[in-house]
This record gives sequence, C-alpha cells and structure tokens, in this order.
Amino acid sequence: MLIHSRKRNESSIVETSLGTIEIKVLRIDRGVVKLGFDAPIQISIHRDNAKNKTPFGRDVAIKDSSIDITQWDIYQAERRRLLTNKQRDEEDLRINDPRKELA
Amino acid sequence: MLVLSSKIGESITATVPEGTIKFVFVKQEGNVVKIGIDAIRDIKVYRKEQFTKDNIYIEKIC
Repeated sequence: MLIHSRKRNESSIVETSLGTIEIKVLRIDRGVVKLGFDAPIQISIHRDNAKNKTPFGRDVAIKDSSIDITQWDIYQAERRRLLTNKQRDEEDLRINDPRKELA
Repeated sequence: MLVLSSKIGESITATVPEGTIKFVFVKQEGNVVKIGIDAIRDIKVYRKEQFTKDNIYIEKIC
C-alpha cells in the first residue's frame, strides 16, 4: 500500500483508464478527515461498509450466489445507471441493431 | 466533487475497469494525515504538485 502524507487542501492524483481521480483533504478534525473526490462520472466511489451493495442498493451475497458477479459487471451496471434514458435507448439500439447481424 | 468523511482505519473504494482502488485513512499527525492507496501496479498515483510538474515538463518537450 502506498502512503501519502497530506495537509489540508493538498491533493493526490490517481490515473486510471477512465481519467484521473483527485483526492483532496478538505478538513482534518480530531481523528476525522473530510476527503473530496473529483473523478469522471463513470467511476463509482463508495464507503467500504457499503461494498456489498449493488449500484441499485440491493444486497448481493456474492460468495453464496450461483451468479458470478464480477467487478466489471458492477462497473457496467453503475455506468448504465448514470446514462440518460435517451443514451440508454441509443445503446440498446446499437446492441440490437439488425444491420449488425447482417454484416 | 463527492465529499466523504472518514475516521482512522475506515476506507473508501473506487471501482474502475482495472479493478478497485482503496483509500484508507491510516493516521493523523497534527495537521497532517496519512492516506493509504491500495491499487494494482498498473495504476499510477502522484502527489498533485508532482503530477502538475510532470505534465508541464511533458508539454515543454512536445
């Protein structure tokens, strides 16, 4: 694990394929730190105590389930949730385009 | 900007196509906090001042 020491208003940058995540220390107060996350909308950020929740808020028993849910599936579901209805319809059309099957 | 409060030992996770990135609030020493960043080796992590400096350097070369 990489450890960065940061003062108030200082930031760290994480480079990913979707863009950069900036983590800024906004406030330090007796054992509690307030962090600001600036990231592309496709990146989902959540507290770890909510890690077994799907993007839709339902619990997923990953270990017990016969369905194999990967991080990639969760990422795709979250990305799709953030699309507007129009964008979602366009994506469905692209996937189900009959011209694609003919080609 | 998403703002989250964290106590010592608590962690926050970001999900990206490469996997997950975990941010842990490790320690507080006066007005300095230590943040642990756990990710696969492909993901690069910088201090912001270093990241800006490197980018300016790259722009100068180009």
